[in-house]
This record gives sequence, structure tokens and C-alpha cells, in this order.
Amino acid sequence: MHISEGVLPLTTLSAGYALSAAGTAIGLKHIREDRIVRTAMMSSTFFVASFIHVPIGPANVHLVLNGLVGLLTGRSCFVAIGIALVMQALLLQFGGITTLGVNTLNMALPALFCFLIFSPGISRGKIPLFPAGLLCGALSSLLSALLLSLSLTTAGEAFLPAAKLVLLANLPLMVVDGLITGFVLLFIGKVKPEMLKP
Amino acid sequence: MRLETFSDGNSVLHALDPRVKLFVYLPFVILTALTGELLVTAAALVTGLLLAGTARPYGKLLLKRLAVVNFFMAFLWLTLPFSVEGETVLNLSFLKMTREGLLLSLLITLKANTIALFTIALPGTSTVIALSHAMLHLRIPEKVVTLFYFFYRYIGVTGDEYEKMGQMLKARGFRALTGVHTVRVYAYFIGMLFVRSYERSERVYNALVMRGFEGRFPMLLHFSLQPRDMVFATVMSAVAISILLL
Repeated sequence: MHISEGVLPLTTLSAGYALSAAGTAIGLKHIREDRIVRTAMMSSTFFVASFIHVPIGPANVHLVLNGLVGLLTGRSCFVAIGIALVMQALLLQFGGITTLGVNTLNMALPALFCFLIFSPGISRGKIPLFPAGLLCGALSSLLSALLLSLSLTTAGEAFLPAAKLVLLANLPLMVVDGLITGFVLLFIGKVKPEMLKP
Repeated sequence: MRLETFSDGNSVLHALDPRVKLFVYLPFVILTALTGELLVTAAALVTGLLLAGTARPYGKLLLKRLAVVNFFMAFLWLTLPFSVEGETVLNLSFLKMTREGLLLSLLITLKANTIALFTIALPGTSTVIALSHAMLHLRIPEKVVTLFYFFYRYIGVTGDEYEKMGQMLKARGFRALTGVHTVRVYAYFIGMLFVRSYERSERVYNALVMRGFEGRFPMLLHFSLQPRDMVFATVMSAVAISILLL
């Protein structure tokens, strides 16, 4: 879930932009010329995959998969996630332009974190893929939801209940994203294992 | 997968220079996002409605997009009226609804909708390719724009793949239910989508190298400011200043 326009104060918005810009600059440095196409395509696949809705009882959740994107794009995940969010903000009115920095940070920082923790073990085959994916997916969604709630509370104490409600609403997603990431890693491990090497 | 839903049309806004549209769009969005005044927001909303009316977007689709914007607002309407301190308007023994809380929810909802209208009416009426060219002209780093261009180009391809694979699932009698089976099917679906994109990215890159690609595209679209662009920029600046002075 993205924070929409008009909620956050200037300081949070600019801090989000500053940190995301730093993350993006580092990411851009890591994208060699021969990786431009791959990073962009991983990003468009991420964008398309987020249209999938998984039913949970009577409701359904749409997938985020930022942990998976972190594993597949590594240090350039700020770029991969950022451009997908620009597109969502401009064309689909999810999130927004002023909140782009904050939203990118909320999704890409956990993705980068999960990449740094899990990727060394996964690429060397040291940890089994399913549990690694499960943890990576669940942890990245949990961290994203926490960051999202945290940024909401910067708008004032009155936003605390809303922040808690948003966090609660994101918990089912954690389970689904974890399971999906686990199975996706199993699949990629069988079909195209070199994708998991940075 | 159709994304540029509002970009084809023949209104005045469609004909404007995308650089001018971005130039007008950003200050209005920032102004609206940061204001705390209901009056300023209302004035911006009227401007947004007028612009969206000029762009003549398809009504049903516009409402659908605005519904997406207002989904997040539900979380605020459910909590803010009770959590903001102020004059009580409704007392439900343990919950107190305050006037200030209601006003704050209203303000944020109006702001979000106003910005959505601006987004549909200004950048939304240009094609993504025109916008990415405009970004280059506005000195956004070339690598970012090239990435964005590839990203956009392959959303279409990946989207077609997604639809084709979706039909395949349907043909095999798959129905999404709550349970591990559905999750596993979707996960393999996503895995295949990523594997295919990965392999395609290698083929595309090799094909590009063979054709002498050096990490950037030459600019093909050159914009020239027309009198109507100047008029639009002037009028909108005047509107922005008068809203600021309200």
C-alpha cells in the first residue's frame, strides 16, 4: 500500500526524497551498461506481477514482492522499484508524485536489506530456497508496513490509530508474500538458478 | 494491458508541449499537497476540475481511478475523526467524533482528489514516450530515462505474457481460492514471468549490442514552444499565484 498525496508534512516528504535519491544514485552506479535492459525488465515484471490478487477468505490482497525484487536486482533495487512507482503514480494514481520519495524508500529499503542478508547464502546454495524465500518475503513486507506506519505517524499524533490500522491490514500480505516468494525461489532455483547469483 | 488510458484525445491539453505541462503540474501538486487551508484546497480542486473537464477524459474511467485514490482515504476517515482533539460533534460513549477530525479528513481527501485530477489532466494527457523525452529535455539523468524507456516498453510485452499465461490457467480449469494450491500456482506463474523476462532481457541486450547500442537513445522528439503553450503557462502561473494569495 502506498501513502497518498496530501497527508505527510514537508519534512517527511523531503527526507523521503533525499534518502531515495541517495539510494537511487548508488543503484545507478551499480547498473553497468549491459545490465540496463535487465534491471528495467525486472522492474516491468515486478509492475505486472503486482496486478495479481490472491484471495484470502472473502477479500483478496495484491502482491508486493519487494523482497523478491531485492534478490533479483540487488543493489539497484531502488532504481527498479522507483521507476515502477513513478509509473503507478503518473498513470494509475497509486501513491503520488510528492510521496514518491517516501513510498520508494518504504519499499526499496527493506528490499535492499533483505538482499544484503539473504543473497550471500542463497547464491552459494548455503540455505534451502523455500525457507529463505519465506523469510525474505515476510520480512520485507513487515519492514515495509512498519516504515509505512512510521511515516504516517510523522504527520502528527492523531495519525497513530490510522498507522496501526494500516499495519494491521498489511499483516495478511506478509504471509502471502512470504509463501509466494518461497515458492518463486524454489521455481527459479530449478529452472534458472543463475538468476539468483548477483 | 492499456496504461496510457487518457493520452489519446484531441483536447487543448493533449496538444500542449509536455515540458510546459510538467512545468505547470509540479508547482500545483506541491502547493496542494502542502497546504493546510480548506479554501486553498477548494480553489485548487476547482482548477483541477476545470482542467480535467478540458481534457475530456472518459467519465467512467475517471471515476474508477478516483475510487482507487479514495481507498486509502477510508483508513483516515475510520480513525482521524476520533483521534483528533477538538469540539465533540458526536458522542458514542467511548468514542468522540470531533469537528476538527472530520475537517482534517475532508481536507486530506480533497487534496488527494485534486492532485489525482491534475495528474490525469496534465501528464496523463501526454504519451509516456513524450513524457520521457520531456524528462530528458528537463535534464533528468540519461541513464534513468533510458531505464524508464525500457521499463515502459517491456511492460507491454510482459503484460501480454501475463494475459496469455492467465488464459492458459483458465483453460486448465484453475480457479483462485484461499489455500496453498492457489499460492503455489501463482508463485510458479510469477516465477515463469520473471524467468521469461530475464531470458528476454539477454536476447534484447544482445540484439541491441549488435546494432551498436551504447546505453542511450538519440532524441527523436524535439519540442518547440507554441503561443498556446506560453498562454497556458502564463494563465496557470497567474492562477497558482492567486491561489497562494487566498
